[in-house]
Formats: sequence, C-alpha cells, structure tokens
Amino acid sequence: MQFLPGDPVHYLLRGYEAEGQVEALRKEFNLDKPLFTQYYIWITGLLKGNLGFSIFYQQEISGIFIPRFIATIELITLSLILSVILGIPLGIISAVKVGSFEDGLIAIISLIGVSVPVFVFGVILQIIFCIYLDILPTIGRVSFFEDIFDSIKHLILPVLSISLGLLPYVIRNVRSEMLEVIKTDYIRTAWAKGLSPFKVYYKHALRNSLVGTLAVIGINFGMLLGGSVVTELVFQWPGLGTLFIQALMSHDYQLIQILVLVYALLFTLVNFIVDLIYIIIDPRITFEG
Amino acid sequence: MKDSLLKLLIKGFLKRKISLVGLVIFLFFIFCGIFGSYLTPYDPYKTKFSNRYELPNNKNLFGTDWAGRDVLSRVLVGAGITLKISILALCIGSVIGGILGIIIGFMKNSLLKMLIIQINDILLTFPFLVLAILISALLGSSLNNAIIAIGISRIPRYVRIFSLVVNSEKNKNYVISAISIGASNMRILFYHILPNILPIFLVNTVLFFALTIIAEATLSFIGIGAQPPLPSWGLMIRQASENMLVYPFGVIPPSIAILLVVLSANLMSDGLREFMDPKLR
Repeated sequence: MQFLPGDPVHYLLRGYEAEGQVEALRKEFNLDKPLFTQYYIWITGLLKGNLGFSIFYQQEISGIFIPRFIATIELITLSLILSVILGIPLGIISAVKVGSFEDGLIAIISLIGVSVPVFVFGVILQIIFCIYLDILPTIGRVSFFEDIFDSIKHLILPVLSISLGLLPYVIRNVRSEMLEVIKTDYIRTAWAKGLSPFKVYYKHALRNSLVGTLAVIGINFGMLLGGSVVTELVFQWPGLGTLFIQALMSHDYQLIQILVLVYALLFTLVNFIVDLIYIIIDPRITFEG
Repeated sequence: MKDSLLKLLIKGFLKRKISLVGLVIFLFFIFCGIFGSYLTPYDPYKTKFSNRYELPNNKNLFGTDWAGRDVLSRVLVGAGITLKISILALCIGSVIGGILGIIIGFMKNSLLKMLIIQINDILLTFPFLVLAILISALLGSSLNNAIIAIGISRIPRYVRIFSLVVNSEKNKNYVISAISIGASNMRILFYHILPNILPIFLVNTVLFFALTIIAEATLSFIGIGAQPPLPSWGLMIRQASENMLVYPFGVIPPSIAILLVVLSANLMSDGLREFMDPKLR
C-alpha cells in the first residue's frame, strides 16, 4: 500500500509547507514509523472498531464512510435486482423460442452488452436521457427520505447502466440452463398434466435452472463492483467508488485500505449469500457435501 | 499433433460463420494497430481550433474533437495503443499466471502448495477492476503502469484456473501411463500435459484480451491510465463526455471501436469453445 509514490502530507499542505511542518504532520499520522508498526496500529485499531483517520478529509473515516456505503449498497442492490428481474424472463424467452427472431435479437443485445465497458453505457444513457430527451437528472443523488420521486429519478440511469453490464451473463446462463431443463422428463410430465406454459416455465423449469445462474451472479458480482466504481464516477454518485478514486488521487492510505477491504468483503459476502440461497432453491445441496 | 490441432481450430471457425466474422474484425484491428499510424489522413495530435466539433463530413470522416483534431486519425492511432496494451498485459497476466498455475498444479500435495493456493484465493476476493485501479494508482498514472496493473490483477485468476486444470489432468490415465514408462517430469509436463491444456489456455487468453481492452479503457476513463494527448480510446470517451453538452457525437467513434474489438474477441472465444468441446465437433 505504501509503495505509492508521493506523500499524503504534501497533498494536505498543497505546497504551503513551512519548515518542520511536514515532519510534525508525519509524526501525527504515524507515517514516520516503520511499515510493520503502521500495519500493527491499523489492524489493532480495526479490531477495536476504529476505521482510522482520513488525512484528506480531516475526519474519522467512520464519519465519511457510512453515508457513502449506504449510497453504494443502494445502487448495487437495485442493479442486481434489476438485472435478475430482466435477465430471467429474457433468458426464458430466448430458450423457449430458440432460433427465432426474438432469440437472435436477445443474443445480439447480450453480445453487445458484454462487449462494451460499463461507463460507455453510462455516458450514452446520459446523452440520450439528459441531453436529447432532457427528462432525467444527469448527476448526483437524493436520499429516499428527502424526496422519493427525485431519488428514483436520480437512480434510474446509474442502476440501468450497471445492470446492463451484468444482464448478458444472466440471460446467457438462464438460456443455456433452460435449454437443458426443458428436455427433461419432469417437464414433459408437467406438460402432460395440462399446466399452463407460464406455470411450466416459471415454476417448474426455472427453479432447476436457477442454481447455475446464481453461481454466475456470484462470480460476476466482482465485475459489477468494478463497474460500479466507474459508473459512480460518471454520474458523480456520492458512494464508495467516487470516494475510492478520490482517496487514490490524494494518497489517503488509511481510506484506501478500508475501501479495498470493504470491496473484498462485499464480494466474499455476496458469494457466501449465494451459497446460502443454493440450499433454499435446491434441497439436494447440503453443507456436508 | 500441432497440425491437427490447427486444422480442428480452423474447422471449428468455419463451422460457425459468426466466429469467422469475429476473426475478420480481429485481423482488421491488428492491421490497424500495426499500420494505423501510417494510414492516418491527418496528424492525430495537430489541433486546429477553427474547426472544432465538426460532425462527420468529407474531410473528417469521423468528425473532429474539442481541439479540432481529426477523430479518424486518433481512432486509428488508438488501435495501435490498444494493441500494444493488450499484448503486453497478456504477456504479464497470462504467461506469468499460466506458468505459475501450471507449476503449482504440478506440485505434489504439500503444506507449501496449500499455502500458495490459500494466498491466491485471498487475492481472488479483490474484484478484478478494483485491483487494477488500485495497482495502477499505486504505481502512478501512466499507460505503462496501467498495463502492468491490468496484467498483475489477472494473475490470480490464471493461477487458479491452471492449477485446477493441471491438477485434474495429472491424475488422468495418460499421465499415469507416461509415469509408468519412466518419462521425466519435464517430458510429462511439456509433451503430455501442455498440448492437452492448450485449448483452455487459448479460450482464456482470448477472453482476457477482451477484458484487458475494457479494463484499459476504464482506467484511462478514470484518468489513471493513458494521459492526454495520447489518443487512447478510453481517454477519448472521457474527453468527449466532458464536452457532451456541446458535441455529444464525439462519444460514438471510440465507443464503437471498443465495441468492435471486444465483440470480435467474444465471438472468437465462442468459436474456440465450440472447437474445444468434443461433443460439438
């Protein structure tokens, strides 16, 4: 972490440094101590619930961190939900009507979706909805509790552009899993019982094709996190991503450490939750394995 | 052995027309990447403020940007930059990661191996882009550092994939019989295992190629990759998006360039996967 060329103290003083001031500040933030000592101070503080002190913002990290964390979680959760809600029906449609016009169209859209960086979606959506149509706000975030409609308006574009990045993976997976499930005997039985197509596809077939899809979501969640960093930057969303980049630009070590840790924890946590959901949707899976 | 592998590869490509399209786009990209800087109609760095924000016309096929530079020339030179990045990052990521993974997979089960795999798993919990952004910023904002960062952040995944593949390959009958006739480790590795895992290596490398381009564009967009006035595609989108109120068209040419190249890699990897799967051959 501390291989970073540059010194946070210099960023803090911005060239107005007086004699001895640099050393005093370095001492205050423990930057003069050896790396292992600094790491020890950091890790023991973390265990006590002390996230550390942001040199750039001149306040405790926990103070800046929590509102930002909520903003990012809001964005990521909604994007995840949206890409699942859109991805499952689209995947089922293209599996049911395999080889049809709809299938081809969905395949092309998802191929384009995989091939474009997430921020390009963001920029293009901004151009369409904010400049040409002028119906949605370009940047920023409004809290749910202040004004619910304004809040949703601010959410639409970032959520859409993040979920467009994940959507193709969901569609592709639902499609390929469904293609296999549809051929099985129990689906034929369901048809023979005279169930409606909706019930056959969405109740009987979907459940068996969800296991693989969940795994795909778990693996690609890291991509979603990476995409959220850039999307936050495009939409000036006051979340962890913009904070992360700000911290990197100002060499705010403690803040960077916490943020990288949080990203890794989020990734691990989501994969853990995915493992838990497996058991709910597929009773054959147990932890004893 | 090698010939038949190549033949199968070509056959797999010919069977799926769409992969062939990918290959053609890819070859065109490589051509632009190598010769692009000689084909430019104008100097990509020459600013001319009298014709800023020109829409596409006869003189400037893709229009001009905020400084009056010809966008077509910049996209062409950008192809060279993208090609350079992807080759170098691939060398770092897939070669180092692949070799490490193969060695670790080939190692006998021991405490050391478990320790390495555990450490690697910890590294894998960092999302790829977050890791790339972090390392790139740690090294300082420049194109070369971005390349190194992208390469390094891909290593853990390669190590993971190849240690698993080699590990499972090691217990297959053909390797056991090779051991039984007294083949050396080196011979087993290079002559027996390597040809068998080559297709997996190819598919992963093509996919990584796509990811590299996206990652580089992202880093440059954030501002920690290529620095102006280099015409990197990500940076061009960044600059165009800053001026999108005046000239929204500027975003389109570099976006389409990225789209085409990444699309070609995805199409090719689909074809490769088909060729890899013996059931579909």
